[in-house]
Amino acid sequence: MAMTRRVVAPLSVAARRIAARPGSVLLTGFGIALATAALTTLLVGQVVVEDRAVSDAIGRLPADERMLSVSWVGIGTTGWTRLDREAQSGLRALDVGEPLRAVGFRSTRFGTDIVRLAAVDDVTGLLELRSGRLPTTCGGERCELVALDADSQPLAAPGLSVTGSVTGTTGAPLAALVGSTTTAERVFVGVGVEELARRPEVSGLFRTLTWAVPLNLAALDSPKAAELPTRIAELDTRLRQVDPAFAVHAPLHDLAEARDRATSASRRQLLVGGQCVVVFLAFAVLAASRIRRNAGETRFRLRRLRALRWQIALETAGYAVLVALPAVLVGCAAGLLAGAVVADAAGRPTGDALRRALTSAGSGWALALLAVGAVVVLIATTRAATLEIRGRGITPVDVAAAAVLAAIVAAFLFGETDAESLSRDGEVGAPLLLLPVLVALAGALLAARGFPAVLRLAERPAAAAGVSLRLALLSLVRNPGVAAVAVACLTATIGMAVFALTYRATLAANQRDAASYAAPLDYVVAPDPTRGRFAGRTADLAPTYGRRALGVIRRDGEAPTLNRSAELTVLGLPADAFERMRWRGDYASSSLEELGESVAYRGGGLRGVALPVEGRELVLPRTVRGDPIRISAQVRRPDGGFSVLDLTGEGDAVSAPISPAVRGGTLVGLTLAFPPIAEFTAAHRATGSRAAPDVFLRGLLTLGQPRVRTPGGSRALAVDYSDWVSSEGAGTGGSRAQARIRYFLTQERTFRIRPSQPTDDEAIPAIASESLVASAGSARVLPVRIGRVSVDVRIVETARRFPTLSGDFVVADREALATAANAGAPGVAVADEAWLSGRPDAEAELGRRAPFPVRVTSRAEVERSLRADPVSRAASLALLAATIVAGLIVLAGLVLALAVDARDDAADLFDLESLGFDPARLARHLWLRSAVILGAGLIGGLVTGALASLLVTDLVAVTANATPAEPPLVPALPWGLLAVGLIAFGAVALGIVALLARRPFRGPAPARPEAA
Amino acid sequence: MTLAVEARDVFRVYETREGKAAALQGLSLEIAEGEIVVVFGPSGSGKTTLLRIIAALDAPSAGLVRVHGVDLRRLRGRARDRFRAGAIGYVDQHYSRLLAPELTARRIVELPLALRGDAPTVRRARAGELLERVGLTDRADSYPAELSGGEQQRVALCAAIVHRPKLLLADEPTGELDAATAQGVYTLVRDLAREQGATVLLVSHDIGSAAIADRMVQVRDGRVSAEGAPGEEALVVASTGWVRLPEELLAHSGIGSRARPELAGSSISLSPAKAARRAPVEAQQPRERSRGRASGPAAELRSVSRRFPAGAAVEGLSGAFQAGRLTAITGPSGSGKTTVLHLLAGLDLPTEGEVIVLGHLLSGLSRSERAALRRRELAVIAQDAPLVPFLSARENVELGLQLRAAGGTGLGALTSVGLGELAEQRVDRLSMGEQQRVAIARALAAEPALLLADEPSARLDEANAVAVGDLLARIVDELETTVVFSTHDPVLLEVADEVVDLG
Repeated sequence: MAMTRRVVAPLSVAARRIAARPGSVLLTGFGIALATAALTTLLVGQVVVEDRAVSDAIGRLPADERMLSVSWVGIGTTGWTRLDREAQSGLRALDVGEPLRAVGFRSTRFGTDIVRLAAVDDVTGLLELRSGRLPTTCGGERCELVALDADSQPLAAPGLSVTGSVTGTTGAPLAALVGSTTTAERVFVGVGVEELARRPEVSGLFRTLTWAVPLNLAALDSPKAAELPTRIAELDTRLRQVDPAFAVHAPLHDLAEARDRATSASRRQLLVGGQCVVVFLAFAVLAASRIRRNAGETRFRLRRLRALRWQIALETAGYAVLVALPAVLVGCAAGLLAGAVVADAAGRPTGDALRRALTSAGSGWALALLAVGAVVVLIATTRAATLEIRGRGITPVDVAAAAVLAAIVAAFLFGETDAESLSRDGEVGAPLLLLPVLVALAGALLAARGFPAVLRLAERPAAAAGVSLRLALLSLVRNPGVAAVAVACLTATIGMAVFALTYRATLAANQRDAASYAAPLDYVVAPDPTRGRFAGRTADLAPTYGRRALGVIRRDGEAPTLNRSAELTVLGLPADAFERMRWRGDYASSSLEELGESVAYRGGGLRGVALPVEGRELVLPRTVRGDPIRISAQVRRPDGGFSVLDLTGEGDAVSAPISPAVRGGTLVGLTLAFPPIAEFTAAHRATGSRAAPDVFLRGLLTLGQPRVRTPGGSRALAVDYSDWVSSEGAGTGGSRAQARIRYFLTQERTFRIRPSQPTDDEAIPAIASESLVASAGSARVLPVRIGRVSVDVRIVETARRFPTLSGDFVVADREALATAANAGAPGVAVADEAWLSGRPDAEAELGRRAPFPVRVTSRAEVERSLRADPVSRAASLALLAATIVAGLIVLAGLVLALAVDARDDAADLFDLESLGFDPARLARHLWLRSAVILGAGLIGGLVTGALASLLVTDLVAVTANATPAEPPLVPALPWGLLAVGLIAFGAVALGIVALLARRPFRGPAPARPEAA
Repeated sequence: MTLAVEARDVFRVYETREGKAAALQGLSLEIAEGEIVVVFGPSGSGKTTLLRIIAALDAPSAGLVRVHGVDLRRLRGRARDRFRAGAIGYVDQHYSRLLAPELTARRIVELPLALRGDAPTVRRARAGELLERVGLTDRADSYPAELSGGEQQRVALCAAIVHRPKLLLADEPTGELDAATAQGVYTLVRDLAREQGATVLLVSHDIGSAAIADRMVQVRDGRVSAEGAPGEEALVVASTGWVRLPEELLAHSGIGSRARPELAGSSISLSPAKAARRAPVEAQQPRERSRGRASGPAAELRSVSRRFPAGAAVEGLSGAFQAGRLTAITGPSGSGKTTVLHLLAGLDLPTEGEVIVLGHLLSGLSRSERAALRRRELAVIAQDAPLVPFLSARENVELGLQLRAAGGTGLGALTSVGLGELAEQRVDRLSMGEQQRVAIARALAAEPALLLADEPSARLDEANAVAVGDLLARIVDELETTVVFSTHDPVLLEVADEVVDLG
């Protein structure tokens, strides 16, 4: 019992102390509650941001990739019910959406047509009618179909009728449902999977049944995204057990990337959230410094009244706990409320977000750590002792500063690793993101320690100053305790404001850079591969948009490296692109002008034989001794695209009609290949169950002078076969008017002859990404494969990155690239992309004017969407809010410091007044002290914030949208804005302080200072 | 004889920014159990340091200290805490710091027992008993801010002895009390000591404390210089032969910086050495003053009342303070002495009535105008000498001069109060007595028309009190300054031209 009373006695002293000074306690508790609320909101915010980041990342995938699907390949319909049940139930168990069902059949032949048939259960939202009408559900004797991206010519199958022509709707996962197609095939889609599958026209055909679930973004939260890969693997295993022909397809890589992005976005909240917590705790420390004197006096009294050491410690700890714990609980409740608002605003389920935020182990630790930290900070603030080691005073501030500096070093070490992993797989480590917090802490602690030392330098000049300034400076120089705490708090807080402001500016600048990177002029218009089959239908796009539009060639390519082929992008740019595009100096060592000059190409374009505009039919005399072959002519159309004319016919000549689009074009080559039927048969033979024998064709072909039939008669084309070469570069072995070709063809190997080209004997100059240079060797010549053709490029410049490109790249002059690539494979390099400048909001119009489905990338729209991205907006708003909160905290801190001054120095002020200081001079004394403290805080904060911003920008290569930065972040320190902002803020703050500094001296007479 | 305290060759050296300072320089002292010892000595002589070391609140730099046989050097941590909690009762000279502002007088007295784990009934009874003994039963539920300085002092004493310590250490326990109250406190201390068989070591400047002393000990320069029963004090001869001669004796003898000892039978006589500078023979006693004639009132109170929420400090007070005169205000603790001085200084305004100072009706002046009046004409020495703590003694004095746009350094004024050597010390590192003298020096340097001093000798030993009295008299005589001061010190009352008793 006596022991209990011994314990209760100091606690009751602590309780009475709290009750006697509710103002100070409330202020301190307010700071702790704010810190807790910030932390709790941060925890909930992390969950919300994670979920949003996942759904946004998945939402950005093309529709045909943004789905989970199960496929089954086989013949016939036996056992379909079971397969259907297993697939549907398996997908539904994943709880990501309702499955769609489709079937795609292997190519088949109706008459001379090679076609592919497909069906879906419901075409709603999938197909967009171009002509005719949509089909009804297959059934009865006839089954209605629509032609996909083709004309609606009827099929040579009596049971199948074509009702119209369609294209895929934007965003529809059509390719994933009906399977990818080649240009040579026509595709027809019906309604009713089972109905079409049971029809005699497709009996015996291999078919692919697909059950697909477009990912429901609303239902896809971060944990689900994290566990999906495992569950998908389990489903795959289970279905393969049911039938080995089952396969499960999912964007596992994209899910992992989305998860990484979510983690980055979530952790990035620490950048601001962590600082908010620290700033609020700093405010609590400042408020607690008001009670430091009282706490010291209480310890003195208890010691004099013979309290044991543990009782004194218990009183101090009890006080801290009694102040901190309720504040933590209140803050936690407020944070949950704020978190609920955030979750609701972000469209996430509130209860789920709060539950997940609170039940994670990390959250529990974080909150417990904050509560303990608040108690420790309170104790340390009210009881900072100095340890004497060999005559040097070591204070808790020194210990804390050393610990924080060690943490910064550790963060650097981890940070480098994390920065590497970021570039590798998009992850950002928590230690790195706590860097600003650590820098702010270090800045605050160094300010606390350095402020008195710097002030001592002012001691001598102060002696010569006026009485008020001298007294203010000397009071700070010789009694810097609370002032140092105030300077430390202001340094941390202003540092946070500066960091938030500069980092926000950096992220915004990066969004502008990213938009310019995506669209170097104002718009990039390029073929949209997700919207149907139009390969071969593209043409030079730039002329559609006028003279100022830049035609660009963009193709995927490969380059051999040491052990593998490096995937790269090949870009062909016109010369004036280098003058007009937006560029950033860090993309390359050379300037944009130098880069443009280095790849300038002055050779001619693609050479060929002009077809007259009035030509109606191309006729090619030929004799074949050996296996029959197909001869086709490649023509570059006047619109810049390429067409293939299949030359058919019997006898000594083959011919092909010249369609209006082709008239006036240029004949750029002839190809010898398998005839269609032989190709179809060979293909089926190759994939049949039995081992396929080798299939080849051989013989001797003699070509004569080609002619063009026009309404006015036949006209010979000026072909000079002696200048023509084979695809291997050999001559044709003929005369000017005749070519003799000994052929040996396989299904994979065709034979081409074409006019020689200016790029045949030399590599074209190009700019390459840095990693490709090593592969090029000392000659710096790199063979780049584009489709079926290999183009030698000579690397004349290197660049770290190039607008619109990611990964490895080669950039060359468009004309040079087009000539070199189209010489080998006509049509492989068409400038079907256009870069253009233009007014905003022209996106839809540009899309409409394009002759083929295009995707329009608008710089303004990219920037707008980057800014509108919830993750980005959250980051931006958080940073802005942090700036404002920090500003308010600074003001509150100054007012608090003033109040502490007025209260703690009441006896001194009374003495000064008894000496004859009038109230105005006393107020000036307090104001000058605040001004010095604010000045020191502003300088410390500016340095701290700028340093934190530079470090974070350098090490955390994550954009506002939590994606790896491309182009990388470049620190944008808005010095002008900072200077004006800080000066304006300082002026306002000092104005407020000037008003408040008069308050203690407003009464008719000074209050007698309290004894204690 | 069982010793309660045994201190042998105790040194205590402090590190300060200005260098090392020795508070104790080989002090030796023995106190028998049950003995009541009163320690005298000038301010800064090491009295408080001695008490703190015996109370185990500080540790000696060298030397032996035993309390009831316990060697304090060997005490560490908990053992030291237990020792202090059980055996020691300590009354600080800064008594106000002992009183938690958030606790009532009763709870303050009870707190040591609560910390010990005593039952509430036991501690309540004991606190009630003590408060009754010091006449504060009706103030038991008052907070310190509602008590006068004397009442606070008594509450602090009760808290110090509530646990019946075997050794009571008291540092100036009556510094703020009037003579009658101080005597009551001494009696209480003696009675409690006798009842409990406690030993008492009491530091005081008040000669009244001798009434309860079994032995008087004089401390000078960190050593015991004399001791003995009251009235029979003898110089202490240390084993090393060191003897500290009283200043008065030296002054009368004319011995300057060197002396020649001569053995004459069993006695030693000292005479000035031939080569040494002879000191002027001057008696250290109050100056003979020609009491000036009053030339009208410098300050006047007309039916002045000043009421606070806790009660009236002054009620319907009228009186005039004649110009060029030295007027003492006296009265028991809580009688309103400080309030009257604050009213005269314009640092407070009356609830009713008028205060006229140097022809100015203070209630008719704004706060700034009153500050300007103080700056021009007044000097105030406040109780507890609240100087500007971060300034040195010289800077404090010069601050007053700068405000009046007067030239000169403060060194002369500081030398006049015997602090010339400490001029560069920060005042918050000086003893209370030294701070008091700095405050006096600051006021004197200003050469004001009206000097107001609140208990100017409260922390001073008799010699310094005499010197202060002399200074005050001199400023009246030489500068025709009007001096009004509050005191209960007979030495100062002695030099006053007029005495106003508020009792």
